Amino acid sequence: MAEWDATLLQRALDVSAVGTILLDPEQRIIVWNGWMERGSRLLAGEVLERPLFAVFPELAETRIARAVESALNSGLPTTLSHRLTPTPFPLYTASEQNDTASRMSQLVMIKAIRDCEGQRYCLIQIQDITNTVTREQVLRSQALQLQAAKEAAQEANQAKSDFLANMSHEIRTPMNAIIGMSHLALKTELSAKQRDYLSKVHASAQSLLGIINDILDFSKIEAGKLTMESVPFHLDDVLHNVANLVSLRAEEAGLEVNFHVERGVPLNLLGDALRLGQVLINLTNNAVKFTRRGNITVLVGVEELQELQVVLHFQVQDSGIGMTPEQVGRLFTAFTQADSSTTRRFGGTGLGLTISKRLVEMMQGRIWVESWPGVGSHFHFTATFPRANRERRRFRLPSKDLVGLRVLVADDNPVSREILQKSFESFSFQVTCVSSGEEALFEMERALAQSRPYQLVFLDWQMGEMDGIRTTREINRRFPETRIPKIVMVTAYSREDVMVAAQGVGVSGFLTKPVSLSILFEMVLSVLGREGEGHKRSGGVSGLRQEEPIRDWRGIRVLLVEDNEINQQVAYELLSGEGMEVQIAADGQQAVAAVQETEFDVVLMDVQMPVMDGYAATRAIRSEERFSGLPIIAMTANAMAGDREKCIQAGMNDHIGKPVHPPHLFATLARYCRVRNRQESRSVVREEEEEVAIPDTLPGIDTGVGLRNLNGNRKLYRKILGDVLSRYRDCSERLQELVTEGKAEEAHRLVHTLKAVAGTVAAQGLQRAAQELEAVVWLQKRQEEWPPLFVCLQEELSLVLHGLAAWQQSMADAARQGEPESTEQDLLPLPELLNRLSRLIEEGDSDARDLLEQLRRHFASGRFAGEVERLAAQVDEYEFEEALLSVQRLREGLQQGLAG
Amino acid sequence: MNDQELRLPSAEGQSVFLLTEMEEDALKEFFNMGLGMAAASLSRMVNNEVLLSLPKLRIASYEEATHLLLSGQEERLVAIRQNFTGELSGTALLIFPGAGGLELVRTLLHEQMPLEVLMELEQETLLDVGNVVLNAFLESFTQMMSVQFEFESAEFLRGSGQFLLDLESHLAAQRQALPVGDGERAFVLMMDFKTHDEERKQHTLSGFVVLLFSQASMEILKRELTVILGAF
Repeated sequence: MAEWDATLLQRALDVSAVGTILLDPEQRIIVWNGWMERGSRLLAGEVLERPLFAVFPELAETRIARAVESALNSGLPTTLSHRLTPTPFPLYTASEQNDTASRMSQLVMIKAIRDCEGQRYCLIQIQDITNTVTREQVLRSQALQLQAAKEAAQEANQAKSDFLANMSHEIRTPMNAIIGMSHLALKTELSAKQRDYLSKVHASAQSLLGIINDILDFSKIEAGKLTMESVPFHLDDVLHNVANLVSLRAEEAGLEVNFHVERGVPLNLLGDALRLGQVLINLTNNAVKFTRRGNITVLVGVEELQELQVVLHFQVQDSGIGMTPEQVGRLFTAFTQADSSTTRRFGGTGLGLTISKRLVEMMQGRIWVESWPGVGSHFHFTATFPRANRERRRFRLPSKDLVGLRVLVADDNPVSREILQKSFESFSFQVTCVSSGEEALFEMERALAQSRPYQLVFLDWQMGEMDGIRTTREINRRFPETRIPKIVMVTAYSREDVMVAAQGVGVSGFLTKPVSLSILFEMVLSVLGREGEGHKRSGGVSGLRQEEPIRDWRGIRVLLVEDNEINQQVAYELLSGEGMEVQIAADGQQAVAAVQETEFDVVLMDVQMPVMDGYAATRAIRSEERFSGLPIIAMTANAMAGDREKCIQAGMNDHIGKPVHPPHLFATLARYCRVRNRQESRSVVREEEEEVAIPDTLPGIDTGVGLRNLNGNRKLYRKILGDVLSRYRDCSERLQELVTEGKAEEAHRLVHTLKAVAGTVAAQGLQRAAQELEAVVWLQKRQEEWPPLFVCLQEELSLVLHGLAAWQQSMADAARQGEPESTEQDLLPLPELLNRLSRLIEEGDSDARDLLEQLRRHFASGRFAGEVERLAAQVDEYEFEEALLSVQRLREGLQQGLAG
Repeated sequence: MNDQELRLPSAEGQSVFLLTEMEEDALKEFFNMGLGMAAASLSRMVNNEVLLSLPKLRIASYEEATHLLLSGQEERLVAIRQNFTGELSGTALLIFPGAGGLELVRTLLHEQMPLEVLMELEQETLLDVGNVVLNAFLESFTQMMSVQFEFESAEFLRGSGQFLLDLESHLAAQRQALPVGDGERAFVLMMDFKTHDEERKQHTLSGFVVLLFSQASMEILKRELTVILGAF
C-alpha cells in the first residue's frame, strides 16, 4: 500500500502547477517535483540529498533561509511575497516574456510538516506569478499616466479659470471708461446722428459687459472662487430689481412680465440677494428672448416652510418657442444652447443656465425645466433660505372695515388679471375681474344699480380701444361725483409715461407692474387715505425705498479716491454733474490727508492703488474716532465674490463694482448721504451759484456750450476758464519761440493741448484755429502756411484771453466791493433796489455806485447785463438823466419778464 | 493609553476567564517581545525603520471585542489570519480598519499609487507583512508554553468585523468540532505601525492583533500561565 501510495503521490507532485520542495530536518532536499525541474533547469537527480543552500548558495542568509529555519525550529509558516523578497529562487518562468529567459516572479510559501514521529520537515511551495506582475506593471504605468494626464488637465483648467477670474479687474477698468464716458457723452449736446451712434456704443458696451460678467462668473464657479453671501434681504426688493431690469426688454418685445408671490411666502430672508436676482434675471431674460407674444410669469411659492428656514419654489413661465426633450437634455451644460442654430438666432453665451444651475445648487436648491415645443417653457428652481426675522408679514391684514372691500379689476391680460385677483383675495377683498374698459363701465353701473358700488377700481392703462385713461374719463362723465370710486392706473410701462398721459384725468394712484403684495397693499391704504396703517420697511439691504433718497445732490462733499485718471474723470463728472463737490485723492495716503483737512459727506474709495491701497486707507481713517461715522464706499473693478466682504472687513460701508452703473452709484450714495444736511447744503449752494455766475457770452467763447460740456458745473467751468487765462497768457510767445527754435514736436504738443482746452471751454474760434495750425505743424511741412495760421491763432487767443481777463477783473472788483455790503444788507429785492437807485441818482448821491454793484450781481449774466453795464457807465460819467432812463428800462424789462 | 482602562469591569467578570494581574503582565511581556521581533523583521524587509508599539491590551468576550474594535466600521475589513491547532487551538488575526492595510503597504514600499483598490500583488505583500507580524507574536507566545502547536499558512481575508471575530468562521474546517456552547474569548491588542516615507514624513497606522480562543483553550492557557509564573 505504501509503495503505490508513494508512486502516486510522486506523480501527483510532478504534475502539480506549484513548485514543491521538501527538506528533511537537516535541510537536505528529499522532494523536487517536475515543476521545479522545469523552472530551475535542474533535474531531481542533480539535487536530491543535497542541502538546499548548497544547491542555491546565493539564498543563504536571505529571508528564505530564515523562513526555512523558522519552520524547522518552531513550526511557524512564512509567506514570502514578490515585492518583499529581493532574492527569490533562481527560476525561469514558463511564460514567454519580452526579455528572453526572464527570471520568474514568485510567491514562496514555507511551512513545517511533521512525520509520524513528530519530526519537523520543511515544505517549500512556489507559485509562478510572473504574469500577474507583468499585468500589474502595465496597469500601474497606465494608471500613473492617467493620473498625470488628469492632473495636467486640471491644472490647465485651473490656470485658465484663474486667468479669467483675474482678468476681471483688467476688463472692468476699460469697460468702466467706455460705459461711463458714453453715458456722459449722451448727456451733452449732440446731433441726432451722434446721439444714435453713441447710444449704440453705450448699449453695446452694456451688453458686452453682460457677456463678460457671464464668462467671469462661470470661470469663478469653475475656479471654485464663487462664494455666497448671507445677509438679510427682502424678497420684494429682489423681485423689483428683476422687474426693473427685465421690463425694458420685455416692453420692447411687446411682452408683459407678471410677478406673483403666493400668500404665505416669507419675505424677510437671509442669503445672497444678488445671486438670487441673477438667476431670476437670467431665466426671465431668457423667457423674454424666446417669446414672441404672450405672457411671462414669475411665480414664487413655498415648497417647505420650517421654523428657521424656508425652501422657496420659483417658476418662470413663458409662452415662447419651447424645446424638445432632446434640447432640454442639453440645457444646463456650459457653452451649450438648446441647439446651435438658436445661438445665431437669439445670441447669448449659453452660460447663463449653467451659472444659474450652480448658483441654485449653492442655495441648496435644484433647477429643472418643463417644456413643450411651440407652447412654452416653465423653468423651475428651488432655493433654501434661513428666515431673517420671523415677523410674519410686512403688512398687517386689513382692519375689519376693509374686509370685503369691493374691488373691480379691468385688465385685458388674463394672467395679470388673475394675479391681481389672487392678491386682492388674499387681503380678503371682494374682487370682480373684467377684461376691458367697456365691461368695467358696465359692471360698475350694474353694481351701482344694485347699491353695491365698487370702492376701488384698478384699470390697466394699455387695453384695447377703451384704455384705462379713456375708461377713467368715461367714469368721471357717467357717474355722479360722490359715486366715483378711487381709481388706480396699472401699467407695465414706466410710471412717468402713464402719469403724463393721465394728467388731469382724476386718477388716485399709479401702480407699476410687477405688483408685489406689500406694494399693492400699501397702495390700497394710501388711496383710501390710510397710509399710516402700512408697515414701513424696517431697513435691510435694499434701503432703496427706505427713506426718501436725496434728489438734490448739490453741496454734498465727496472725496473721490482713485488712481486711474480716466476713472477719475468719469466719476468726477458723474458726481459733479449732479452738483456734488468732488475732491480727488490719487491714492490712499492722499485720502487720509484729505479727510483731516476737509469735512466730507462720503468717501468713494478705489481698492487697488499705488502708495496705499483702499483697505489700508480705510483702516487708517477709521482708526480715528471722529471718522467712525464717515461713509466710505468701495468703488472697484474687483467684482470678485469676497471682495465685498473684504471691503466691509476693512471698515467700508458698501461696495460698488466697476463699471459704475450711475443709477446704482446714486442709489448707494443715497443710502449713506442722509438728508441731514440738506438745508445747510442748499443755502451753501445758493450762495455759490451766485458766486459762480457766468456771463452768457464771453468774447470768443460760447459759455452755454462750455457749461453743457461740463454738465452744467458752473464752479468747474469758472475754474477752468481761470486756468485758461493763467496758463495760456503767454502761449503766443511760447509758441513763437518754439517755432523759431524749430522745436516742432513741442510746438505741436502745445497747440494740441490748446486745441483740447479750447474745445472744453467752447472757445470755438480758437479751437478751429488751433486745429488748423496743429494739422500743418504736425505734418511738419507746408511751413509757408504757418505764419497766416499762426497769426489767426494769436488773434483768436488774444480775443479769448482779453475777454477772460476783463471778466475776471470785474468779478474781482465785485467781490471786493460787494463783500462788506453783502454781510450787512445783502441783496435787496430787485424792485426795491431799483427804486432806491433811482432816488439816489435823482439826488446825485454817490451811494448809487454801491447799489449799482448789487445790481451787477443780480444781472451778472442774462439779458440785462448789458443794460446794467451801460447804467454803471452813465453813473460813472454823471449822466444822471440817461441813467434814470436806464433804470426805468430795467424796471420795465423786469416787469415784462415777470408777467411773461 | 493607560492599560488600566482596558481591564474588564470586575462586575462583569466570570472568574474563569479573568487573569490575575501577574498573569496579564506576563502575557503582555510575551507580546512585547514578539513586537520587538516583528519590528526588527519588518525593518529589515523594507530597509526602513519600522516601529511597532502596543498601546492597548484587553481580554474580551466576542461581543465586547466586536464592539471595542469595530464600532462604526461598516465596511468590509482586511485581515491576515493565521490559525493554530493542537492542544491549544485558536486563530490569530491582524486586522486593518478601513484602507489601513493598503496604506501600510504603500508606505512601506514607497509607492505612490493612485489606485483605490488593493491589487493582487499588494494583497500578497500585505499577507507577507501580516505573516511576519503574527509569526513574531505567535513565536513569543508559544515559546514559553509546554503544549505543542501546529500552524496553518497565513491567509488573506476580507470580511465584516463580525465575521472576522467569529472563531467558528476560522476553525470550522477543523476536524474536532468546538464543544457546543463554548463561548469565545479574545485577546485584543491594538498596535501602531510607525514608519516614514521617502520625504521622511512620519506615518502612523493603527491595526489590531486579535487572538481568539475557545473557552476550553482559555482554560489551558490559564493553566499554562500558572505553570510559567510558578517557575519564577
